[in-house]
Amino acid sequence: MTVSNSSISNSESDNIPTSMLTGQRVFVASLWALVWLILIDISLNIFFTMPKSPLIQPSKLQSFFDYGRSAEGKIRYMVGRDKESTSMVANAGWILENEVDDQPKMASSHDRVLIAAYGQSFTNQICEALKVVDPRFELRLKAGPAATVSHSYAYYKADAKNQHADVVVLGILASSLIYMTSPTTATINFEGAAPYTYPIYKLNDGHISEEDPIIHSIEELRTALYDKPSLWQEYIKMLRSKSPTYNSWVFEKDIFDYSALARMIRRSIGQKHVHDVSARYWNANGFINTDGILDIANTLVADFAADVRAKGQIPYVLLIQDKGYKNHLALAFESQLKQLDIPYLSTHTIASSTNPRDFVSDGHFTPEVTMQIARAFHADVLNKIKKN
Amino acid sequence: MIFNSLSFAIFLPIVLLFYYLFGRRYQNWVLLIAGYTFYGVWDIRFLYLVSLSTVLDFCTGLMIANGQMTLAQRLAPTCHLLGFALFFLVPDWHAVVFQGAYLNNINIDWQQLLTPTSLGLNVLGLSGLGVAVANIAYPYVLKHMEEKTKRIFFLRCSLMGQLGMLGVFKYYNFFVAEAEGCLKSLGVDAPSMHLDIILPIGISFYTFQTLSYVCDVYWGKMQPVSRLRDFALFVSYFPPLVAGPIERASHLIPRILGERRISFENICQGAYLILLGLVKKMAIADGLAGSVFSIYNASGDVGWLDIVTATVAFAIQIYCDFSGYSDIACGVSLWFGIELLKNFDQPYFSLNPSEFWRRWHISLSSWLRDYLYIPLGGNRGSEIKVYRNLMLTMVLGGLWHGAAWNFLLWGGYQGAMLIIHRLFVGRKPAEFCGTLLMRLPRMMFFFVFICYGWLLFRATSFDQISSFTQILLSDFSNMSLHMKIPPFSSLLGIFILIFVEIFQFKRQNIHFYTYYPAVIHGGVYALLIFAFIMGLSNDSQQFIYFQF
Repeated sequence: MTVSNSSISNSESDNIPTSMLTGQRVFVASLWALVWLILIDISLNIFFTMPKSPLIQPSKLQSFFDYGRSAEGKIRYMVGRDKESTSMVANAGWILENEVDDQPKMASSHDRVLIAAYGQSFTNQICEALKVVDPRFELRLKAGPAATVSHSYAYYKADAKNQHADVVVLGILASSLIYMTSPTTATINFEGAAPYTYPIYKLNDGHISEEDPIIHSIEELRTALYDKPSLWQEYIKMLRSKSPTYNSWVFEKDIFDYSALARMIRRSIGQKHVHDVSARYWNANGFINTDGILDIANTLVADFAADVRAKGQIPYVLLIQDKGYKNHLALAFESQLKQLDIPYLSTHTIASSTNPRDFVSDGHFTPEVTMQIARAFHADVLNKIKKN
Repeated sequence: MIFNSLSFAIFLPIVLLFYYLFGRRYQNWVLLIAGYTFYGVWDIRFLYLVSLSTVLDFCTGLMIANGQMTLAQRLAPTCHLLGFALFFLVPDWHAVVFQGAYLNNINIDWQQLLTPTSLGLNVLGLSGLGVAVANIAYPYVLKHMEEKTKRIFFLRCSLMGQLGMLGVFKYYNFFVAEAEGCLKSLGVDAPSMHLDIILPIGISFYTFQTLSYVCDVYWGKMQPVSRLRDFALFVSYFPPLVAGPIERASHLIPRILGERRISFENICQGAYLILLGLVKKMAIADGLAGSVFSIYNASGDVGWLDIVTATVAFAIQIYCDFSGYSDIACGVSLWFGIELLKNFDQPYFSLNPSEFWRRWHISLSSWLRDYLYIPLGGNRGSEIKVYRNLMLTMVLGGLWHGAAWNFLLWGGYQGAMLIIHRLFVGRKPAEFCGTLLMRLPRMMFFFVFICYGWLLFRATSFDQISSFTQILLSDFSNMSLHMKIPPFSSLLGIFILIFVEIFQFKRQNIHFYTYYPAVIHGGVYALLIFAFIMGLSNDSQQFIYFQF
């Protein structure tokens, strides 16, 4: 420490000649500030506008300045008038009862094992890694982007009669659990809005009941957006009344969508909304049973396991603890899984969710970690098959 | 209530409205009520501590300077302390719950609220006892104590009271835990003496503020404040209350008591400082927080590049977080016509540790200089004594930040740097007079040492300090970067800040933009507004220095 006698007050070094901040000068400078802001806004809208076609991958900066677009604006952008002008994301995740695809319905031979998995990209990646670990495994993968447990459950229910898999996997992703409060992830995950829908499940006297999401397919969505506005309005009305996580500022398209700066303001409102919603259902100690989400999720898992067992298949639950969620899914589900003897694997026992090296930049596990999880999954599944 | 919150954005205009509506006579009342509201929002019970601090130093200040107090001067603190205990500690305020997205719904369980808490009753009883003893002992003190003894006695009362409160709330559990650990290692199974207490926000700031008052009164540098409400405002004036600048009594009290002039210039300068502070905090510091966290709070192995980038990011984060708070506090205060002390003066432009401490957290470093370093002997005496004084001052400065070994280590590191610098350049180092470009290599060289200090400061454990240091010095095998990439708003904010700081440095004026034509002046506003809007979407973090 050096003793200095210099003044520590603003007044001496920072004194400004009075004439420099006159009302007129500040007024003119403020007008210039406004002009600059308008120019910045126009420039951003010109140079970082999203590609005309949703099929073209936008750059990082284009995406950045578009994050604040309303969920409805994003959905309208990604869903074109026909299939050819609709983005891949918009087509993903829809639950279709009689979906035509080329995925196996049963194991191709008796020495093969068919795994039917319902989840999201994490679940898919783990299952695909499983196939690398042991090529005897065959896969039937049904997923939605960042899908929640109610989507996976509903997808299983819709697909159950189409498959005769040996093992049926339900993938539960920690960061997606709160999406089960809404029939679409877009009410919360508005920055990466995906339009697919799923039922909202509720518990009535211990029994599951479901709310219909009104729009069930990309075709219905297209109709609602372009040909039948009343259907879209009905959908919005349903979201407003049934989803506790709906926020009209974040979801509905308005004039803010046309300005880059206004979009950023909406993004901040959206972030606050996401933060508030998350805080209702989750904190640093784990998930909170607000609106009974843990009771509902556990009931869905129990029902899934009972249903799978009734068909003579092996149920399996993957608890995927992504970045920052520690062992929170295990805390929420483990006691029931043990009680009902449902086989499960919690990823936190293999990869710590607080270790940045376990994740790639988009939040998924690194290929090495995915392979480690797949190996553990493989050993456990083989064990269960032997026992069965 | 934090500056970058919606609640503060609502609170401030209301306070300003009342402040401007009422004449000078009532403005201090407005600020006093605002201060208590601002602080009480965190935890209403801690208002009692503010009251205790206020009453203690108001009384000791008067007794030191005048040797006596009038009846009104004794009655006011009595009512203040007992009233605060009765109102803020006895009711169970947990019964009042704010709900809703904007805390717009209030649920009150009246039965719970009106059921007295045992803590409140105990504190009320003890306060009553304390006040009674003080009032009974007052005639005795007046009659039997000599003037000199009285002054020393009341100075000690103040120091013991203030530092005692700080010690109990901030350091007690730390030292008890360390002592228990030592005893355990010796095989002694001592019973746990851990107290279940939480650290009152900003306690270090207002304690140091009031200590400066008592010391200045004792040294005859200023007259004591004669009215409790004026002194209460000095303690609870809300802009610097929870994270500084640590105001000096000799600086703030004249501004509280005197006439205030709120000029158009004040308002414009204040607005600029608030905007700059918000950009630093919201766009830069909050954005970098996640990146720093991803390395310093990671459970797995990290590499050389991770540590270097995360530490540089933390150096920027802590500067923007803390100086951002100070800028907002100074800006808000200018709107009330009260100029606060300067707390930062572009610290990363420093070329050596001595200069760094003249530019970083100036209100603390100058406090430590005036109330610790100089009383210890300062630069007087042998070189060994000067080194001892430097080290002691910096270690205690480190401890001021928090009860943890890494803060002590950080203080020791700063002390060591100052000593080594003094060893090299002697007592009176020559000031570097070159251009900014010529300064740059030396600035960058010294920045490396600053950053290592921040590593000590930010580390979560001794093991982490040891492993990170080892990797930095000898393990260059892992050069992959796993740190979370900062958001675009932070990167752009840093870019804008570098330009702002360069121009500020060249002009030696934080309001450098006034030297340029209106088109550029407006451009600076626009860039900052743009960065601010971008920063709005970063996850809001608490100010780092709130924990101190």
